[in-house]
Amino acid sequence: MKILVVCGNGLGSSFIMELNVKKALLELGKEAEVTHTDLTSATAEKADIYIGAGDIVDQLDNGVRKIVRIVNMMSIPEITFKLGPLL
Amino acid sequence: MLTELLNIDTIQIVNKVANWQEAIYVAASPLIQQNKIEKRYIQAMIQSIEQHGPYVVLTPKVAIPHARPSDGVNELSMSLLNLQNPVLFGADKPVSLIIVLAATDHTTHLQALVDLTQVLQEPSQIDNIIGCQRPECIMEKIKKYATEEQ
Repeated sequence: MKILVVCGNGLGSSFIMELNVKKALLELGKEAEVTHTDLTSATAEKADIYIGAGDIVDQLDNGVRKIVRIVNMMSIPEITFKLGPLL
Repeated sequence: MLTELLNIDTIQIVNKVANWQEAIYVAASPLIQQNKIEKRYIQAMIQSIEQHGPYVVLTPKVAIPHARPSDGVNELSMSLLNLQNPVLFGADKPVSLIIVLAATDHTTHLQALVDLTQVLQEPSQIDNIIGCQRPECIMEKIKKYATEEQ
């Protein structure tokens, strides 16, 4: 299972979110590979789940990919709630 | 790490700004004065939000605008602007704290972001920082939250 956290530049928000996705996985008792990248690289990178701010990940939605849209990137409960059912 | 980057010279408290573009400009101005970033970095941060939407609003009330190292970063740096009156980054995205991140590569700023995550993880901690009237107060809170055992 590979989870890709995506943001505009792959430098700031996606890294912070990666930390929070890892915390969410711990709470869910699940294991997955979590990495972060920028939107441009993400379009070419294969992952089981793409997660990020709606503005960003909507651009990755090709109808096939599993996309998770997060509003509050600091909220472990929101990430847990939205990511949990896909794991 | 975070407390080395955010200090009396890079923290500002301002009553209000006209729009989010001005917020980013004002927030980044100490870094321009210290020659840590070039003016084009501000344009790049604004352009990134215009292109991708307000994804830099990490959590309610807080935005961390940033662009790429190649967009005019001379030195790893951060600055913080506390707005007494929030500014809208999107229709439903009022922001009071603007934290500008200027990274020189993909790794050296990561510890500062780990610290920042500690600071921003509790909404009450964010509100306490917004409530500060002086930069010294903000520095004190950041230092406390970033180093507290969670």
